[in-house]
Amino acid sequence: MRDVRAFTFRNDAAALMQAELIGAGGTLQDVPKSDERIDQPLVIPEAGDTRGFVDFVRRARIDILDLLQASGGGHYGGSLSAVDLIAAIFLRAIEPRRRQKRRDRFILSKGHAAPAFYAVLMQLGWLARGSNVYGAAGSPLQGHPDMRALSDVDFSTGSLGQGLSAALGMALALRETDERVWCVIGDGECQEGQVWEAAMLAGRLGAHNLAVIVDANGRQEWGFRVHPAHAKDGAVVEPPVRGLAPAWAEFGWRTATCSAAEAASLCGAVDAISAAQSGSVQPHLLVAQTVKGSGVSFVEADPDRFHCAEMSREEFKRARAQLSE
Amino acid sequence: MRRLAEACVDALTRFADTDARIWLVDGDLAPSYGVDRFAAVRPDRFVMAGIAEQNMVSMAAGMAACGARPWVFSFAAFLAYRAADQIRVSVSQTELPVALVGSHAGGCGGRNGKTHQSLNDLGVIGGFPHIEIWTPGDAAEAAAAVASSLTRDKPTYIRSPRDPLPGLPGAATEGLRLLSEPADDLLIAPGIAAHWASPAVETLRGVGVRIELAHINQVRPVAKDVVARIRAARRWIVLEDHVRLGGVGDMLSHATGRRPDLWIGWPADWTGGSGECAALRTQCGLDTRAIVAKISEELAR
Repeated sequence: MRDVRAFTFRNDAAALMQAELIGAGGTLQDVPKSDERIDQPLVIPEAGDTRGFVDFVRRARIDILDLLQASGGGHYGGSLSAVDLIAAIFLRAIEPRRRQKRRDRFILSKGHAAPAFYAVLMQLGWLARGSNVYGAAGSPLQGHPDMRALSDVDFSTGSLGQGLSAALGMALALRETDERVWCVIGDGECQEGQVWEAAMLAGRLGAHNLAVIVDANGRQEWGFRVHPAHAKDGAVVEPPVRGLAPAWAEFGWRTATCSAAEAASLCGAVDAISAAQSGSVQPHLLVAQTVKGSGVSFVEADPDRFHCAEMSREEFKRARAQLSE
Repeated sequence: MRRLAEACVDALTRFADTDARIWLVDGDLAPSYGVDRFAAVRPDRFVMAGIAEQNMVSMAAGMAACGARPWVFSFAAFLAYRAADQIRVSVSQTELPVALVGSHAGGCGGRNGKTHQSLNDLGVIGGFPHIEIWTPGDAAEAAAAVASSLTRDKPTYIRSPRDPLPGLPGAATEGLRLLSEPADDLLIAPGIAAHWASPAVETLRGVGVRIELAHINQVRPVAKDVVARIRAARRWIVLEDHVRLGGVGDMLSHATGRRPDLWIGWPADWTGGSGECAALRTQCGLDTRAIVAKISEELAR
């Protein structure tokens, strides 16, 4: 079957060119100059190198901050909670197999975490930093991942609920190959009915080459709120979805959970899925407990504000300092 | 007499012999349009997607992103309306070569009634860029649409009415298809409307009123000869199985810069209803008598 990457992507060259900076409302003053960031050496940890993984995601978080500061803000919370998951997929599953010339696919169904995706691509050296401004007109770094703008995007997302379906379609089309499809979905995203349509069908079809990680940060933009008097365990905001893993197990999925805060837990869970896939007849679900805004204390402390927000110059400096060695 | 969606299935079944990219994806309506026949001979390339149109469309896009050529079948109403955002985001915005076959399109939905009719599917799908759109008028044209679509890597929508249609005179052709003697005044009647138009044009000829009847298989992108003919016509009239907004007449208006002198189709304020096609056409001023009266009145101005 013809590889879609043979398409000419109009903006692919732009990803590597120095494009003119178009003000997107961001404060560029404190973002380190382009050449500093481009010269950053690539440090891609081998499998099993947990320390290396932890440092990789730390640096990716800095890229998220820089990218969002230059564009005038964005989805801090959901990007910072997703970056570990995306890094684990690329470092443990996709990148090693890419070196063997098999082309696994990745779909970020919770597309608003695009900054996390771009940050991982930058840390892998697949995406030049340069002066591509996130969310600027004509930028390959579209606000939500756009396969027409950036060839490392396997599928465009942004309208919640659609990416998992596309991942299932890829898995179907690739089922006679050794290629795998990884998909990150949000727990809030699981309120969309289409997610359940895909989950039911994937389980029924036994899409063994499909693996889904849920960024279960327990939050969404606003949330289902209860009066403090009725709050369970003091939680005023209810989790977006309940019973996910048991329901999908009923649909025919193999399910597991992990804690994204512990790199060994997350990486171990991803490794376990990779190892199980070729002998499996079921799709895999990994529910990753994450923290919205993870890595920056004052972002973690205010998930409502930082669902989508701007940082002041001072905040940006403080956030960056927390992540710097 | 063939159902056009079935003609699509037959064409795909033939092409699938030598084209491993072809998949058929169905939303639990297979027997309604013959998809069950493909499923029987090519189970390796058939997906029963269930009553889940949104997943079905986005899933097909994922397949296309890996080099497959998926053909998604459902009723036009459920594709265009239930899966509109999926067509927008997963198909139009990605420009992936997903083909959508909307069966039971238009106003003639029989007993099923208003929820199953699609009076403005062209308006919805036509509003999204990059999707090529076909309104075949017979089985041969439906097969030609399938064959043509497979030679390009573009999204496609083929509209098929519920009722089987007889063959149109002559052969399937690109661009404007003449179904009568040429004349100064032009009547464009795409899809099933070509069959509605024929008896009306005959009746008009019987009373000395000459009008050129033409049909178009591919309405988007519209062929240059169609644009040229419309611009050159003395008067041009549209008869279609659609409401005015977003229909073929509307599309051609934009392509030619010339609004039709007369437009005949389903009323804008009608939400649909059950009924035999003939009864609905009479109810809505689309039967032969009404068509003849409206055209006569327009040409007599």
